[in-house]
Amino acid sequence: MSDATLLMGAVDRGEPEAAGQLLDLVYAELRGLAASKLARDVPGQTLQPTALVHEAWLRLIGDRNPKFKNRAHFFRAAAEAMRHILIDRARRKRTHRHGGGYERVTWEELEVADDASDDRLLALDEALAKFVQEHPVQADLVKLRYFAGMTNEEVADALGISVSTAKNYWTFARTWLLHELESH
Amino acid sequence: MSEAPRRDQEIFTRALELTAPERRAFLDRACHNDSSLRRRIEALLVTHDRVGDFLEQPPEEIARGRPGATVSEGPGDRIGRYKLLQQIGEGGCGVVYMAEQEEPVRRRVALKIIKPGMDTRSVIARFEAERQVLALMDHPNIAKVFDAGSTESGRPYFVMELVRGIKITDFCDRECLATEQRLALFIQVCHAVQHAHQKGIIHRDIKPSNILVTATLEGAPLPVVIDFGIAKATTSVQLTDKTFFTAFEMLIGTPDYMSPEQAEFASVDVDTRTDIYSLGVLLYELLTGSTPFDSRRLLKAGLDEIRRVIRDEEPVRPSTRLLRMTSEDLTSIARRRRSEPPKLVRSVAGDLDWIAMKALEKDRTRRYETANGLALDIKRFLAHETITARPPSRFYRFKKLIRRNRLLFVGLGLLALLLVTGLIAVSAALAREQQARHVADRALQSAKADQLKAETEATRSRQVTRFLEEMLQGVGPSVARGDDTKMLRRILDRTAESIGEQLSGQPDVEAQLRGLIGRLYVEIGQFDLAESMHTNQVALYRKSVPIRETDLATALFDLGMAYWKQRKLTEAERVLDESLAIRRRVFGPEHATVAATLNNLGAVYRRQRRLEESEKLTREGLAIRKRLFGDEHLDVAESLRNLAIVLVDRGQRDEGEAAAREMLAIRRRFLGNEHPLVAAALTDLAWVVGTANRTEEVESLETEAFGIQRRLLGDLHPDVARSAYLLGERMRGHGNLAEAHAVLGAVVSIQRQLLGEGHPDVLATLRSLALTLESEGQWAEAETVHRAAVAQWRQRASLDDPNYRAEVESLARALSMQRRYDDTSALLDETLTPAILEQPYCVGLLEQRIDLRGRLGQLRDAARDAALTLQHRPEDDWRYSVLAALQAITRDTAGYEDTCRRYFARFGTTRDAFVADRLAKACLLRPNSGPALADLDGLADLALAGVAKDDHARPYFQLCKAISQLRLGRNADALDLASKVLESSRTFTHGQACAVAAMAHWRLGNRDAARAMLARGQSLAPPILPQRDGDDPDRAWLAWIFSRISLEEAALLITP
Repeated sequence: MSDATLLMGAVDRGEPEAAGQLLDLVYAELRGLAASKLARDVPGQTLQPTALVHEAWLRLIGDRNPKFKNRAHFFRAAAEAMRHILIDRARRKRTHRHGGGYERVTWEELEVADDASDDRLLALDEALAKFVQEHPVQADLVKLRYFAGMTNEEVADALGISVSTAKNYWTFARTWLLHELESH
Repeated sequence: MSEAPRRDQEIFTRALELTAPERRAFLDRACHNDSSLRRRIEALLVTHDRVGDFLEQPPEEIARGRPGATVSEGPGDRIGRYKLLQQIGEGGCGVVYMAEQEEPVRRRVALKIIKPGMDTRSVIARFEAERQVLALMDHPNIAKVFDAGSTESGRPYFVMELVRGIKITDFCDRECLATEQRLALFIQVCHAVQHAHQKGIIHRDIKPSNILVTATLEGAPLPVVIDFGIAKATTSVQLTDKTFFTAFEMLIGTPDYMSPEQAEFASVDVDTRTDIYSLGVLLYELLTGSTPFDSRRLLKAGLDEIRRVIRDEEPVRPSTRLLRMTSEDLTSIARRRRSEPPKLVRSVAGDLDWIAMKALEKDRTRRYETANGLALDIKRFLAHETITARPPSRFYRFKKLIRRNRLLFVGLGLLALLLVTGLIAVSAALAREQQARHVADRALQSAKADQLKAETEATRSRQVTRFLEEMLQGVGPSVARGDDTKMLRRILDRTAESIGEQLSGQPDVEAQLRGLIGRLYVEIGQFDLAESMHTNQVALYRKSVPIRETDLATALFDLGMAYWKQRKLTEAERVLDESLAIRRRVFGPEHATVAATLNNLGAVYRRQRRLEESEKLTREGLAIRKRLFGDEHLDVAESLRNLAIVLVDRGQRDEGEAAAREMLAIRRRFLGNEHPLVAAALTDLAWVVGTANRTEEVESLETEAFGIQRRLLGDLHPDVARSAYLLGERMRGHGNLAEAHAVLGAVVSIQRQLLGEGHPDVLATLRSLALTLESEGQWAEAETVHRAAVAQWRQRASLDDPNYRAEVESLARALSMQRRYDDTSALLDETLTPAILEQPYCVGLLEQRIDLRGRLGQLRDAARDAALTLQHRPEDDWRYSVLAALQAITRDTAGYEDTCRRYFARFGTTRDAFVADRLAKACLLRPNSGPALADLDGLADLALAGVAKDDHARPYFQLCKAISQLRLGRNADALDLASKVLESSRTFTHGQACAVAAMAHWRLGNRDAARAMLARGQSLAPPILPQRDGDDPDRAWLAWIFSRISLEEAALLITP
């Protein structure tokens, strides 16, 4: 059995260190995957976080089919790791962008700030940090759905709530976060 | 923290499942008293409407835009059959190279490589689909697109005819082209776009950088539109929020030229009219040097703001934009157009404004249908012909305002949209009316009038009209179209100013003109100015020799109207009396003008509450009119209206309603539906019906009236404002607080401007606004509004008006809700002057002060106030109870006993359980209050028997009986009842019940139990009244007093 499978079992048994170790493992795997994809740099070919998470799953767990509960542990770790990776990237890019202090003068009269999506991602993460304070379960759900690409059904199982509750939480969370983003 | 958030989720989810009205009711219940929870939920519900598929797509693909990634292509590289020569441009969407094509023909082309991040295959597929059509384009002002493909790194590129030019705006500025020359270039651009449209090709991305100006062989400037077909190929069909932003960033670069329907990116429904819009933006920029919306501001504001602005915000007209620039900017803009500031503004104002605004219509069906149409209108302008663009009709604007509710009442923004009947039309109508009146007067006076006089009058009329026309023509064509009352105001003001100078030798003409202007001022709601006009006019007529009595009577009549509108009733009465006397003398009793004067005088009387006289005059006027004109006549309708109102005032509601309906029917028959008088009739009928509480009927009448008024009068009109006020009141009544807030806020600012600060209408609206704010829990804001109103009332010195009292009461409440008890106290003290204390209506204010003092423990002062309220309102039994308790706690034994005696004398025979309970409790508060214990016990029984079924009240009555039993020495029964009270949830009664139980225990020899019970009572009602924040509707302080008195008695009895 792979480390990941063992760790997932340990998380399930409630061993205190296990969750952190699983996160580290998945994080390392995801980073590696992302880096190798990026190194090849084929513009136009997209690389989606969800696909990445699933690829990490295949690499770490293989074709074994662990208990769903364990699956949930993995995806929680993956969601968290993916969020870290994306936020980290966005931060670094922003630093890079704002670092030089130069202003581009272009052919166009105006240009939209580069990589607005990064700023949006960072803003979303800030909102999420606030959201987790007030609605921890809903915030978990957002991470699983948005960063790990889980479906409503998977999320409901992972969080131990009904599918309809999961849907209600999702709607609420999206509304809450959008409201938070818009009010800043 | 965990409890509240869970409620957010639950309430939100439940609310989503409900319809709007259900939702309100549900939120009322679910968020009762928790205004912050309610605000949170409501904010979320609003946001939910546009949440769309936010977060539904996974995060941005992370392969895009890697830091430091470089574009691999460069000069010298070969892409397909093209060799890159040099970079000639770089934009939001990509890099443009000059390239060389080698086969099949050798030529220079422009090659545009799109930035990475797009699905190259679908871009090229879409381009291929258009290629055939694109090939059909053949126009000197269009750069052909030859080819498309993908680079080795997989990015799409386009190959176009090479245009060596600079973008049109830069060209115009560089060459300092005058406005006419710019327009000539612009017309060519329109023709190019028209050509493409005829071939079925929409550009979708028209902006200066896509229109390059080069030169013809003869050296004339030639604008060439580039990039046809590219935007379509590169715009993905289903744009989500996120991909939109990407596409936005890469393709459009700037939202300045984006049409509202493009900004509405959920829809793919974009047609040729999107290009018309972008052409409008270009025209705007050519004229003013800036785009309709500030691009920097747009970009900073973010996606939703961009969308909102483009969709909803009306750009200012080009000429207005110029006027708003700093003089420095304007001078430089003008210089680049070989003009000077005033000249440039004049040349743009009017026709060019309307042309640009028509192209920029939010609603594409209202834009020019074709680019040619736009070009044609500009040609017409250049040829000084009449253009087709016209200011949007009032009806259309009305619809738009309704649609964009938030923009509905934005105060100043609205002023710009002010619509008033065209000045020319009004003045012409008035002049006609004037002449008609002269004719009529002459006819009636034919015996007295001689030919000569008639002729001078005719001459005079012509003179006036001509003078006015000249004045008006001097102001320019935009006024003639009657868009702007501010302009009308200015014209009237200017005319008024110059009257004295220009007409000093002709007092008759001057007087007549003043009359005309005065009436126009009334039309636009400037009543104080009207007053001054008519006052002058009257003075002129008084001086004229021979005295012009009929004119004087008319002027007095008009002056009466100006006074009446300002509610200066005494003055109105005076001038109308004089007018009536003159008219009766000159025309005899049976004359139309006599009837009109009677009618108005009746209205004045009605306002003065002289209802009987008012009805008499109104009926007299009505009778004359019916005899003169028959039953069906507008003047008859007017009399019927006033009669209806006065009848309702006098309590004859049914007769009043009949009169109102007759009036409405007459007006509809004569005027059709869309007429101010019909709207007014509907409002009046609504009022009459409202006195019968037929709410639904009222609403439908008012809504109909409001619609008509706004369509006809625009927003800045007192009648419209009053209707809007009623509408706001209704929204408030229905709990639509945000809407009510917006409407009332706007109404206040409009009314202030139209009617002046202290006008009763303004005060009524202020009150309503403040009440809305209170319902929203915004006490500080409510305070501000109440303060403004109170200040106005004090200025008006109409302190005997019950509305003033109501205003102060509300202000006091707003203050105490903010826990500012000292301010509340100060307000009440300064308001309750000795003079006011003599008015019966001071009771409400006193009541508030009693509460305040009770809560603050100033019980002696409270007792004094309570005694005062009793003087004014001895019929309310509970006032005795309050006074008795206050006197008892302040050890005013004589006063207490006196109050109890009077109390019992007046209410001892009551059959009402609650009255009996209060009376018995007050008199049993001390051992010997006066009334016999047996009688009081009877009252306690009555209370208990009367409401035995009412669980809610039972503990109160049990307590009453317990005290009575205690006083009668039936200690066991007292203890039994008191214990039952203590089992109930009515905690207000517990302090006193403890005292009763303690005393009963003691007398029964249960000393420890007595001490324990006393201690419990002391802890429930400690010697110092605990301070409570916020509202105290239950008067906890009063319950505390009752408990304290009994506990003090118990403490004396029970030794430790």
